[in-house]
Amino acid sequence: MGAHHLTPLPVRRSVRRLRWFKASFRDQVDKLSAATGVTFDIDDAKQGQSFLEWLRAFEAQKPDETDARRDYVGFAAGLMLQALVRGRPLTVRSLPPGADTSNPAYYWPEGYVFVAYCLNIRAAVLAQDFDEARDTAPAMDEIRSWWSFRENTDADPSLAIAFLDLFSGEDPDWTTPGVFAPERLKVDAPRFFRAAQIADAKGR
Amino acid sequence: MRPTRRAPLPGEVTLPLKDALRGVRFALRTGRRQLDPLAGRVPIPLAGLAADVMGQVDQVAAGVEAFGSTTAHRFLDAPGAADGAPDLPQPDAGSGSAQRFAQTVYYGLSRALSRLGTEDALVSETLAAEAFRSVRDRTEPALVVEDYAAEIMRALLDRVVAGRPPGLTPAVPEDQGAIAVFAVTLWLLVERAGGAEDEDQLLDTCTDVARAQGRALTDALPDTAALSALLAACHRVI
Repeated sequence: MGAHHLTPLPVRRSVRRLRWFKASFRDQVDKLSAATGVTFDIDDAKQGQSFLEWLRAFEAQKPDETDARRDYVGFAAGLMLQALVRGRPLTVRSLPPGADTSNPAYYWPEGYVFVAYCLNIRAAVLAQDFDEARDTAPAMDEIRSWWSFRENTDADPSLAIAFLDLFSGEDPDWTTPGVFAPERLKVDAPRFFRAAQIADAKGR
Repeated sequence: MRPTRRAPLPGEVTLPLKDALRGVRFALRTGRRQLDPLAGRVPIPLAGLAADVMGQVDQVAAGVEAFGSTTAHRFLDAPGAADGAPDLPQPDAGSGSAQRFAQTVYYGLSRALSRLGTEDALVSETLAAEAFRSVRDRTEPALVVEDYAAEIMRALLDRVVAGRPPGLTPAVPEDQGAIAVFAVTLWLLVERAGGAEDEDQLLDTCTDVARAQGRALTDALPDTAALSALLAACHRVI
């Protein structure tokens, strides 16, 4: 994204600065506007509120363990999507004539910008810090996923975290999407509970 | 005969003068707003007279307004400022620094208060300059920048730099004043990313961050160390 020049810091650090966030988000909006013909209005104050909500949520669950960092990148991007969906700092001013609303970019243009932005941030951090190239999953282009995404996040914005996993090809946690659990713990948890059950049965 | 070029007036004279003119402008504006709604409801001959009087008031107000806005914007292009950006003058700064600081604070507080929804606050450059001098005169240059900023912020708040003249209600709510002063202090602290950065946008960003602090700011206000820590935390995210 063009706004990377604002600070010489890596994306994982830059994104925690409000000025960078605003500039890079605007950059994303401009690029999608140019590609789709949809025009948007950005609410500057709401954008700031979304950022601060995200930053608080980000800091609250940031893991200390180095081996959880990679998983936290995806989770943090999901938290950002949650904050954007909840704060709605973007509104559509106009759609191009004849826009095909079975295309996710026209069906829910604001949501599409939010998802694109969060996926781009996620991809940039994974590329810079973990040398990983990421692509989107087929669900990103399926209108049914977007119907579900819009309807469900309207009712519960925390589901945005699970939907971002879905769009990026990761395994979503639909039950407690707002609670960070590294992959290692997801594997260990069933084992832990099984062990507890066995101990409980022996105790009886 | 060529007119003699006059030396510019010193800050000790111009700052109270500007405050006084702004007080006049404020009173005129307030009077305009209070009288204007009546114009449509009074009998026609009186309405004509009211319109005539209000027209004159508008002329005077516009003249003072033009004076105010020219001076308020001039500091952004001041040759003493690094790349035109306002900053927090160092404790050992020269004699003109208090005046420049006061102009910056005037501009910043007016805009921050407006973004917070408080219009028509009177911001005193005289008190802002006094606040700066009081900190400068008792501060060591080696102080940590956020500690120094917190000292200045406290001095601005103690002097109620942003307010409304006595008798006019509602006064600027205390918490709004504190948020605005916090926002301006942050604005002065933040390093600039480059020439293209818009100062107004940056100030708005600082105001949004300041507003979001809520209880944390209220709790930190009486304690300069806590205020310094909060300024540092906010400084990192802008």
